[in-house]
Amino acid sequence: MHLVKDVSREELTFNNQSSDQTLIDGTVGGNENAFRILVDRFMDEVSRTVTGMLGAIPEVDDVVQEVFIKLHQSLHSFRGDASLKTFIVRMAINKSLDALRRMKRRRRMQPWTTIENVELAAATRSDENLDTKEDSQILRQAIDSLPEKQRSVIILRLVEDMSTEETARVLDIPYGTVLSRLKRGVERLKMELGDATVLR
Amino acid sequence: MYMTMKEYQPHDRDSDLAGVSPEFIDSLRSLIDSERDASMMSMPTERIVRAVRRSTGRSWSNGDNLSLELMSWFRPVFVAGMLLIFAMAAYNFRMSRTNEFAQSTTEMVLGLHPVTVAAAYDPTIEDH
Repeated sequence: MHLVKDVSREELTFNNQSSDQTLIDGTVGGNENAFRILVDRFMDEVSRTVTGMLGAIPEVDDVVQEVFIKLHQSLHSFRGDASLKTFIVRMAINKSLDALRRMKRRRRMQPWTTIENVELAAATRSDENLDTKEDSQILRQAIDSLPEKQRSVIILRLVEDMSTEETARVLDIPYGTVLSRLKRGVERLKMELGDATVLR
Repeated sequence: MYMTMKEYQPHDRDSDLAGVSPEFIDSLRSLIDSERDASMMSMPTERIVRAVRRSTGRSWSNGDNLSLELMSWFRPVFVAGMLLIFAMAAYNFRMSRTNEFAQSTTEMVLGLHPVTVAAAYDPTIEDH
């Protein structure tokens, strides 16, 4: 009986035009193709959010993977109170914060890993010209200097182009808190960047 | 490989972004796009689907499929076994009715000889 039901689910076709809810139902029903389309649909948002929070480090790839595995495990409990994008980006922020805490703990135990990460980040941009490379490094250092709460608001609001309301829903904080964190975050970025060309 | 953020276009809802230049937002986005391209390995979707299959989906569906498969294999065996048992019980019951000794229903169904006190103490076990 169950086998017949599973086969009929497998036979359902999913494509890029399928709604989020259709893909969620397909994924919960065990259809791999539905989940693959969901991953493709939200890959850009998740990978940008995680990279914005962590920077150019090898852990980004693992964290993005963790986000989607967590999504797969949680889809059956998704009630649709918020949009799927809000649900996924919230997971991406939470997983990034977990990774930042893990990295902080590791740095306390092995201080030399910081040097490795900085070297890797620099190496990844070695093909850029010197000015751009310097600007990028300065900008990344400025982002990294932000407290996590301000950084997540800056990433969602400026990079992901989310509205203040969407940002408040993702982070589960009041509207006014988003505004104040954004204001303080931008001021801090300006202070850190000083006269750097990226601000001009 | 990935989509790059389109160039920043200010709109009405951006009143809280006063003091942040569109050029700065574009710089921020292009930095994160380039960092992402450098950090992410190729074919992320396929790797994620495989990881999900390994971590949750595969073990669950395999266990589930195995039990369903075993049930479908043993269902005919179970039905045939039950039919055979009923047939043997019916045969014993019918044959026992012709027996001259007074038998209980259990003895009839199971095809047992009638057990009496005399038979229990009878030393000639060959008869049983």
